[in-house]
Amino acid sequence: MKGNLTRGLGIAGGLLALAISLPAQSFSTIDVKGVTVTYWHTGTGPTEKGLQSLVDEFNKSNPYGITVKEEYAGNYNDIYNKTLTGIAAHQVPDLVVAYQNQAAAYRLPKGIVDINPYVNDSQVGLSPASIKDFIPGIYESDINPQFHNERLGFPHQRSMEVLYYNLTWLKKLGAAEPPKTWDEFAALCRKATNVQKGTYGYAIDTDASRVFSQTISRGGGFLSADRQDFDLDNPAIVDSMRLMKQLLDEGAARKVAEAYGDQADFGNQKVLFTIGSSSGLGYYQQAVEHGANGKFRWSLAPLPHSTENPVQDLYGASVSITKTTPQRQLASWLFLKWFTQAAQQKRWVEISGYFPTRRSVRDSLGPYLVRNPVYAKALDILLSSDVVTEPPFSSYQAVRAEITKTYNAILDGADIKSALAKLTRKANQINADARDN
Amino acid sequence: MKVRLAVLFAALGILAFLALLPLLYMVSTALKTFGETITRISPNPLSLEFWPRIPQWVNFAAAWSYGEGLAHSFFVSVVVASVTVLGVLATTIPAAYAFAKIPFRGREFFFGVFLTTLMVPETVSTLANFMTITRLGWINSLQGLTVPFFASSFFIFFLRQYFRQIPETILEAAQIDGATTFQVTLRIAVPAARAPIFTVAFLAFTGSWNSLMWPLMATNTLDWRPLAVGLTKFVTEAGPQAHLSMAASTMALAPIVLIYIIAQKQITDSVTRSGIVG
Repeated sequence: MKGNLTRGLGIAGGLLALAISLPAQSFSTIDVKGVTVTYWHTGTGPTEKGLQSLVDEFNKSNPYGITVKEEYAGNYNDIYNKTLTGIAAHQVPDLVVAYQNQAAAYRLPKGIVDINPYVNDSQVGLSPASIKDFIPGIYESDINPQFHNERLGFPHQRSMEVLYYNLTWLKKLGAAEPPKTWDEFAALCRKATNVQKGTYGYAIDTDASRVFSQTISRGGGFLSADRQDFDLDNPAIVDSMRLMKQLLDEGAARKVAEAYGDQADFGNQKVLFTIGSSSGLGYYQQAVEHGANGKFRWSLAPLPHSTENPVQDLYGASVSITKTTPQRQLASWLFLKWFTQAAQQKRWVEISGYFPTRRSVRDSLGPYLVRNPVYAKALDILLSSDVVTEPPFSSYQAVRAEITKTYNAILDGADIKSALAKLTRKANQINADARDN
Repeated sequence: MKVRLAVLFAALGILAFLALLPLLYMVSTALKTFGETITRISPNPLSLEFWPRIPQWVNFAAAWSYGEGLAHSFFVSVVVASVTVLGVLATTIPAAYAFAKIPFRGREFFFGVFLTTLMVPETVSTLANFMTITRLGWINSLQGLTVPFFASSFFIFFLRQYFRQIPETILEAAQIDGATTFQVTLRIAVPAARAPIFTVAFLAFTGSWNSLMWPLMATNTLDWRPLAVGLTKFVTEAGPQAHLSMAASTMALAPIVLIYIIAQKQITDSVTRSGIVG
């Protein structure tokens, strides 16, 4: 009896050790022939048509027999709400565009999968050369420390915060180039301000990304030292808020009152500087073309900075793979892998105006860069700057709204330090609630 | 007395003007060129810059056919809203009459249960409804967009209040003459309650017409995307072309405003008589 028990335990232990030592399932054994996957995106107009043509090409040419159906599912917030509801109802697409914090929210109820196993697989993954081709900062941006460094999305496009400036006006003010420091920036804003003419230096947009980009340009950030909590009352943020409030009180800066108001003022040569996403380039071009006060030369630059090199806020939604079946997940990855290859990235840049995620794409964009010199400059800034991404926490969506509220309160007169201290407490409360759930 | 009336009318006039100002801004922007939306901006309707130099009526045609066009979304909305109205009336009228005029055990209790559902926020029921229509295979379908809204506690409550005011003697006389309950409802109660029924129809139509969250959840393709979703996509596509966005918004609002202008007397009358305040 005792002998049988011992033998049984030994066999069980052996089987357990064998199971642990066996490699994970190889993706090459999964059959994806005939699988159809759905991709939810935000593309409209020409961007949507361009994406459709890329998807059609994949469907016709891929050797796996995979069919991709792309669907416009609203803007990023709409897709976020829809996907969260879909995860609860087990009705999800296979691929969904998501910012890093949104992907974290999907990961909480295990609605999306870790893409690392696919990326690192010897059969279906990326080669070391392919990985090295990614622009630094972009490849790592979807790794989430909240979830044991799982890769919750894969990047197919990016944009970044830039300083838009009126070059013609700048030269009239005696400056040969855009400001490199915040002191130079403030001085030029004051010089540009003329109450009678109605001109001013900077159009303040209180979006959280504006706060982040100004903070990192001063060597700061949004996170605590252990990167687990928010730290929103550090000296870099305090200095940013102080400068904005000072310029507002002097009349050298004004709050943006309506959608695209900063671009409209820029096009009308009422404001010297704005800060915004590089993906807004096309809108700036339109604003300048239709401006009231004639054409002028304009461009963009890295934000002023007190760091040694410019530090740029790089952002953009990636594509996440939802938890479905092994076949659909693998099919989704194979499409995503194809979509982020250099040849497709080149076409995606020309369709969408976003930055590519691979360095090698720059060399193949020749004619496009010649036709779009301001975009070319923005791309070169990306390739030569240090880049930082915003917090990937699932709570960040809600924290962004609190940051905007606090920024507005400060501009309306609230004490900067106490407002930011209160913001930090609130942000960490939100973060703790999100973690507990 | 005359001074009081004058002050009252002046105050109401100012409030009406403030309420109309956003609509005026929408229409004036819809009639501007793209350049004018950037260069001629004023919040003051008495300023020349508030208005276009030359009205660009072509903006409405441009918005109608821009991108995927609003035409398809518009017609989907007409169909969805019309079916919703028919469904609402088909359930609300019998339910309201039953709660008002048919004595049955537990009538007040069940009515109380109905009323408690008014306290449930829409977002809470959205997930349950979404799971239901998913299991029924009603995603991207007319029934998915309409059936969940066929029954409304508020509309039942609203009509019940009116039906309760119909004198019992009239109904009893009809029953004595041999009319069934269904015939009494259809031939006596419904004609007597034309105004509130029209109000319910109008509110149901408006609710369906303006609905964005549910159609966004329940549709994935263009086929059954109604106007609110189409308009959201349109505004994203149009970007800073405010003249097109405003032209599209004006066209989306026009049917509701038109219907209200035609039927405002009945609507106001029915709300007053039903005894509902606020």
